[in-house]
Amino acid sequence: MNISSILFLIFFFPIAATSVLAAPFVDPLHPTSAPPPPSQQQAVSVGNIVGLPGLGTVINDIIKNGNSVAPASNALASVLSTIIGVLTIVAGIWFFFQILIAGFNWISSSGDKNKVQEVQHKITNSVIGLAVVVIAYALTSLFGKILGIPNILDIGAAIQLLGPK
Amino acid sequence: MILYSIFGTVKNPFANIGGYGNDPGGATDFGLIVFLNNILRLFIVVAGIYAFIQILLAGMLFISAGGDAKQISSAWNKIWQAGLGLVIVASSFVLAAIFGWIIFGDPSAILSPKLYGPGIN
Repeated sequence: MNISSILFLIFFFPIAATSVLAAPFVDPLHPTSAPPPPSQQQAVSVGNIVGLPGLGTVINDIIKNGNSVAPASNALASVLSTIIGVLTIVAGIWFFFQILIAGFNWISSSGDKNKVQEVQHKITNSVIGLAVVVIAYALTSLFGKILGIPNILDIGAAIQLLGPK
Repeated sequence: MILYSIFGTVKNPFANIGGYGNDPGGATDFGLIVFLNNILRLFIVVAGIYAFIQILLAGMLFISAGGDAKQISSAWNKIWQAGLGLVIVASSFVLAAIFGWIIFGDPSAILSPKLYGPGIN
């Protein structure tokens, strides 16, 4: 032990120890002066994000209806309904052309058994396909009932349920 | 303040765009959000034109396919994907509202952004 370490022990160690022990305990994770809660913070609205008229201005309806999600879910439901409606119409037109083409083939088959059978298969399949398209909605709601999802086709209610709280 | 007396107040050079925050009256909007909205509208229009060109190219593929099943299916794919992309672009604002509701519990969380300052009370 040399003289400097002895000097350190005598003079500086007590000072350092007392200053460390006397310092107030500060928990870094829980500072005493907490920031104000969100309710007291000043929120400045910077405006709404708006796209083209139509679906893009849904935020205006949301704010008008007291911040409810209903306008957005209604818009989504109407988009999906439109797509399904267009697909149904396309299916009907497609069915018509299938039957037309099958009729032409039957005319030009001229008694060829294979060709006639092909045409009959085509007609049967078209009719089955159109029936499935027509019945799809009822079938989906029936499956929902069986599986215990009462409003499987009500997308607005589903989105309402998805939110927190 | 010397600097203030030198420079004076800066007048807003734009008539319809506010400086910061949005007017309680609603006459002017935050400048940045107006700019962002214009950019978004530009993107939507560009997406529409791009989808139109894709469908045009698909039609040309149909013409030049000549019964080749591969080319016909690729043309159908082009049309389907262009339509799907257009639907997603058109309903992106609705989807933003719904995701805001699902994630933040507030449908205007994404579409009506807010800046939070320090406490006022």
